[in-house]
Amino acid sequence: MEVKAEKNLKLNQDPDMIWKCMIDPSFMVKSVPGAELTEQLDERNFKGKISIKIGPVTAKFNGEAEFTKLEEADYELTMEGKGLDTSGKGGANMTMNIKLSTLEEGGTEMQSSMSLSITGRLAQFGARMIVAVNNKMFDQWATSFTELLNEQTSSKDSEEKSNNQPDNGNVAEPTPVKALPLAWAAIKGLFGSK
Amino acid sequence: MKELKTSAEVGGMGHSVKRKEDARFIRGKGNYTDDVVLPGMLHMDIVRSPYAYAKIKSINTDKAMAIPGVHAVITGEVLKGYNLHWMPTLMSDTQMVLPTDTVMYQAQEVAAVIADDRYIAADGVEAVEVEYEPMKAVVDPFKAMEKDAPILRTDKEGKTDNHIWHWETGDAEKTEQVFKNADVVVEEKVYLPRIHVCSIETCGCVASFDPAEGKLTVWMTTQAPHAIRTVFALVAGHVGLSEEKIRIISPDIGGGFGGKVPIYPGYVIAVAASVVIGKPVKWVEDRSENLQADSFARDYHMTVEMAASKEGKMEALRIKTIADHGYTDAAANPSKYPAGMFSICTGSYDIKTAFTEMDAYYTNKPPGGIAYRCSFRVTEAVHAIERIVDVLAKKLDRDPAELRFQNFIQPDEFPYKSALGWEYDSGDYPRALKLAMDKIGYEELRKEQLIKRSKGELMGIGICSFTEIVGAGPSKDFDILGIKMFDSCEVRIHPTGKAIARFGTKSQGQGHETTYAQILAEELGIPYTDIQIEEGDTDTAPYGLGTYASRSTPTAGAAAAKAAHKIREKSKKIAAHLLEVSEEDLEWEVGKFSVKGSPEQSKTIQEIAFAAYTNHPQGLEAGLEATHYYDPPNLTFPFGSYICVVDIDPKTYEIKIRRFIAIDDCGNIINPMIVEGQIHGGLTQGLAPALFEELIYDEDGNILNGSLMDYLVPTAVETPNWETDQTVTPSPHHPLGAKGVAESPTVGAPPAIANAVIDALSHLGVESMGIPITPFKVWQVLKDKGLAA
Repeated sequence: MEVKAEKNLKLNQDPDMIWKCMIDPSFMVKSVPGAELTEQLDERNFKGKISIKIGPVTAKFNGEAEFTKLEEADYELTMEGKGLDTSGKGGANMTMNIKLSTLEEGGTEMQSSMSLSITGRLAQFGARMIVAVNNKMFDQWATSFTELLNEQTSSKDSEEKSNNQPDNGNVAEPTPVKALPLAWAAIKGLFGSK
Repeated sequence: MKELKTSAEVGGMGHSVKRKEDARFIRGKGNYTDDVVLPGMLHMDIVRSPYAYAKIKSINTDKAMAIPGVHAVITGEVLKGYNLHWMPTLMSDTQMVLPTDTVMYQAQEVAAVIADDRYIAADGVEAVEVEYEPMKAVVDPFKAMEKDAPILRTDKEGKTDNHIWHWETGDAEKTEQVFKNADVVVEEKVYLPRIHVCSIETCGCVASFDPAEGKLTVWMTTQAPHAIRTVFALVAGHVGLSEEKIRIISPDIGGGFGGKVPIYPGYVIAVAASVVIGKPVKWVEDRSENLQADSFARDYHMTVEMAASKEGKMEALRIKTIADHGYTDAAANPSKYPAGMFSICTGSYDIKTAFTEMDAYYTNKPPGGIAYRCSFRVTEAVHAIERIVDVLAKKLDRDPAELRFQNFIQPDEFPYKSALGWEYDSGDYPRALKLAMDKIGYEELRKEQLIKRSKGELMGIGICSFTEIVGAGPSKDFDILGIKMFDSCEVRIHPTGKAIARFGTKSQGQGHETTYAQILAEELGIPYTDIQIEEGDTDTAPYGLGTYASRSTPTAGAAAAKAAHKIREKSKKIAAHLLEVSEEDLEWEVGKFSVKGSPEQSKTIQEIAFAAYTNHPQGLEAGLEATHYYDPPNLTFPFGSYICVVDIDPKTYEIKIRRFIAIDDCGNIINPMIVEGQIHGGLTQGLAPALFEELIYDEDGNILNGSLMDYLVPTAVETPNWETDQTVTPSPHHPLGAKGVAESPTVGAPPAIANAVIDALSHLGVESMGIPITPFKVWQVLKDKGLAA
């Protein structure tokens, strides 16, 4: 099943700086909840892991991602990712489009859209819950992306760090995104508890 | 109501005696498959596919096997070693037991873990690592029929498309002719979505192979234990399981509704595991597995057309159907009827010309196509005809009740030969509809509706006047895998005049232990409380094809009556001997033979039974037993008229059933209370698809409502107050004049409810709506017309 989300962010930084962060997978991966970069194949291709837990279902996806579009002149990028659950319980495909534009009052507007297509156990949870979880994850990503950018701006050291390749042989388990409370919020929503 | 022949104490036909089996059910003392516990028993849990269509690249069982308490992980490769990785379906198609290379639907069995307990088995399932290569699934049958669609059943040599079969009946040319010349032609697309029986007990078994005796005993949730035994012998004969060494025991069953007719891979894997390991193996599905993987029902896409004169006389019916069977045709129809009894689709109407055709397709969805509380696709047929009648009424601006009266087969036209070849046994359709209309106050409701409409309120009245076809069936036409669809009864009268009777059928909640005893009580005069009924053990019961399609009363019930008549014949000889008169001088009245003209000279059935063991006449065998295999001369045709009144909330579009009256005619009634209970349950199972239930799949074949949190089974909260009554038109060919009742309400309720909702919206230009009709759909259709925000 496919779920879509769209989000516009206003960021303090100028587009050029944001662009550089966005096309750096080691920077981006930090902003994605539950995600981890395992290997950078070249400028456009990399491998990673993402771990999601919804109720009783934990899915750990091993995936590949590719920047299928990188147009620096327009600050427009498309990233396509696909992953399979490590123990064979499902798979996911994701496409993310981002476009940056300079704001007259300063800073940058980021227009982003994402479509996520999932199969297997997570999909069996039904559209409602997945939409809620996806929205929440997208929100979390936006928040942490903004925070990381702000950190980046205030600390010159981080630039150096982000160029380091992760150690493939000794990767700590990523902390899974805690979707159970989100799912519960979605269920409670059904019963009109507002 | 028919006059009662027996006293309350004897409790024959027509007595509302309390169900004998309820004594154990209400005390929690039923004995279901999951209650069976054997020494050394192991437990099985199943690894299932997350994909609707994928190649299996590898299965790694190491981590699962390393868990303490895991005994074995069974894969397709393991079964292949015994040539048990494929099995036939009841429709002579083929089905994987476990896959070796490809999975064909989400939740398909991929491997099984056998462990010391259920929890360890579940941990083992989590630890099995399967590497898949997902492929693009074909979920929609209309896409499956496209020329460039991927061919799903590559296991079938030479298969070049996804088409399973074509079936047609009737006169295509003549039908076309009538349509060409007709004053009026109407068309309606009717889709009955995939639904699930959701019986309260899921499927499961305990397979116990005794290596010393070479005997396999399987307790399993099956509606047809004898047929299962024969199929097991045919499938597993090559590994040494011959039929005398297989015992199938169907213990208490918590609802079947057709879902417990097919042979699921889980049963076969458990049997194979027990044979290989040499210990008993228990497998019981959880609720989601049951919903996601077990046989679905319906999934027919029908295009229905009716030709009529401008005066409203129905002249011809034509239906073209696309049937989605999922990955394999694992329906449970009689072999010669791939579309079941769908050709009952001319319904209760005298339509002289008809043609129907159907094409079945494979898709990446679970297999099935079972008859969910409906005698082989009758629900689909009835929905088609009852919708198109309403569409015609609307087109001609006629009252739907009046149009039905005009076209009903009349009581004096029975036996009636339908355009599609059935011989309806008996019926009085106008009487049933008239009674329903009188009881509900039809004319007043129509007046009320007019007033409500003028005030902008939404109220609708829906009618369904259905004809069922049950009791399969006459052996010349009806078989499953070649086994004729008779059924059987064996009666033994004990010396003290008590009895035991065994049957080839199997109750799943229908109350056979009571109704069969009442039939024998009626025919023999032995109190029903003195007659023990046994079913479901193939080592003891006579052979029969089981309980589904409302066939138990029409077949096994008739067999009971016939066996009782054989007992009576022998009893007469014994009575003549005891009374020292000739047989011709005796006459039977309930429970005794007496001398004609001298009623004080008589012998009761109890005295006769005692003599059969203590003082039997010379030249006559001792004992008092009889067996009868009943091969029905025809099917039976129960019918009824239902009227539903709905109110729709103009703001939330919630559909409220204000009243629902069900008039059923199932011929002579054995136990009115049990019949009423059956009708209440069946109406609720008819309400379910009308307003709530549908198995929803996305484009990739993911089931989107694979648990009861999302799949809406109605509870007492959603269920309206059912009002029931009956007419009695006996079957002329059944020994008891009975017809079978369990499925009529499931068949009749959905179109009555759909017709009522559409009627509530018809003045706004709404002509059609697919079930389940949810408040969301009502909102959508009104929004499309600019009538809702």
